[in-house]
Amino acid sequence: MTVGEELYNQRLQRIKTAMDMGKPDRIPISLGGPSFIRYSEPEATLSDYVLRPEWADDAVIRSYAMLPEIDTAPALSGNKRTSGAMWFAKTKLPGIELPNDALWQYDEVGMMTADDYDTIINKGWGTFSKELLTRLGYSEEDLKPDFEYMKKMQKRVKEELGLVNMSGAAYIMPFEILSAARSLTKFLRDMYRMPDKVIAAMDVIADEYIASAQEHIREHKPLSVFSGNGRGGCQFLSMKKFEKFVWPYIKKTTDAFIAEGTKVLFHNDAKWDENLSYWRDFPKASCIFDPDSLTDIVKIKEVLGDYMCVTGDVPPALLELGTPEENYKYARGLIDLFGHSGFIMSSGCSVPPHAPLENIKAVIAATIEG
Amino acid sequence: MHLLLIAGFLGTGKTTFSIQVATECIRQGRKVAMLVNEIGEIGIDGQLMRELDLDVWEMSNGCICCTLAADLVPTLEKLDQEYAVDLILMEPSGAADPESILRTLVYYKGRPLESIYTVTLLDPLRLPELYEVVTPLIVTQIANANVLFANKADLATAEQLEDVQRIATEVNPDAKLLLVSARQGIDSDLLKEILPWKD
Repeated sequence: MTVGEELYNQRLQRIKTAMDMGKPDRIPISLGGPSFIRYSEPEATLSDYVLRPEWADDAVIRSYAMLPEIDTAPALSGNKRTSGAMWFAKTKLPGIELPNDALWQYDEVGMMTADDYDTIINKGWGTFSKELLTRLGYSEEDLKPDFEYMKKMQKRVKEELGLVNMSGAAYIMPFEILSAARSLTKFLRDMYRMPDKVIAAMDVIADEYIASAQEHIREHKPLSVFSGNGRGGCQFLSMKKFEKFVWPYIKKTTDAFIAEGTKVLFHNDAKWDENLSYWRDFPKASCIFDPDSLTDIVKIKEVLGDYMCVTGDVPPALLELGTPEENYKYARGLIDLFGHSGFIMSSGCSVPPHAPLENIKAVIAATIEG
Repeated sequence: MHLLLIAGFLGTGKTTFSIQVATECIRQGRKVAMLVNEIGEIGIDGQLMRELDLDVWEMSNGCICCTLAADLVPTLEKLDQEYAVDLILMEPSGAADPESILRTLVYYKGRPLESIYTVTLLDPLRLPELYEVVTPLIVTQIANANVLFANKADLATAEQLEDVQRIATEVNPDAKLLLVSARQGIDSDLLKEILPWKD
């Protein structure tokens, strides 16, 4: 067994225990984001990150080697040119459409039309989404993942560094994906004017997600699958609309994922304060709640703290603009709030691109102190 | 340096409005910078902005949680240190909540902002629909405003304008509601109401 494999097993146990609401040997640490390229390559820009993906992946891996307390694997570069495809959006990249060190952007063009709800209902989401990506100018060739490279990098991350992937496949919930494909403004109008079509299309999407997840979970046995949510919470939607357009699909897909023997990691961007109690409908310790720092962390502890593992939630703005002392204090506060069971120390969303290494080290120090 | 936040849902005419505010400031001999973060979505004509002698700063519009503060604060600091502008006109994404934008200002380390003023634009043609669907977002945008503008008033029916008045009063009875049409041009006296200088 290599040092990496030994570390991997130790970390896997730590993370699994936290996910099961138990008390691990120490609180797991999950930190990652585009800033990691700079810790080993201080002169690197975000255009390096997106335009030199193999070089960037190597730099990120070297940065993780500098921070051996982190337990979870980084999201490696992938093809950023086509990353907007996940949201049916066009992608603007630093060094091409944007300044060299700007964060990449997704331009939500709303290429899906009102008639396309029927296409989804009649032909299925898989067929329609391929058609929509073509309309957006993404070719099948561009979107094809380089499996060989990915496998090589995953092996390196696991065997050299012993880092653990917390979740497998990602499912962007039907409400979120349609609001992006159609564009938010048009989608909200559709919800008001043609709710039945919207619901029928979302039913199709949810069923296809379930079928695809079943296959994925049986083959890969991930610790969890990723459920992406952002616009469906109480920052945007009225509770009435949440109950009609958002919750039924979260519930249906999650129940099916759990039935396959995996957990579900909810990456919930924006505010969900008023929606939190719905998550108590799932079996205890079957989910992980992963907020982005906009949902009140004290409320999360109050409503879900005894029921599911929570990752939390050092705010990206604090990581990027705060001092090491402020970051240390925030992380300590999280440990005081959650204790050592069922908690994973993490950034709210990903670590932003210019977060200083000292701030990352401060969060790690607070966690290691326990 | 003053900050004027121009909020409002997607498609309420924020950019057309902002350009008129900026033009009025320039006419008064003030230096203005605009911060926008929907440049791709609404297709601002960058050349037009430059012709108007405006400094336009584009902010990332990726994940609303991660990028906003990280983009906003360094940009404000740069404007403070290098450009000595009198007014920053900031137009956040229509899906953003002004409260969370203002919260990020605690990280700003430049000269203290002399004033922060929030204007929210409402679209009478769509407001009742949006108020029903995205209630919390609309409520926050209205509640945080110092002044409300019902834009596109020239296209709205009397009934639609009454709806705007009703919703505005319900949520923020203290804010003045002004009816305008940014497309047709806004009276400079109305614009002066939201500018920090009264000369």
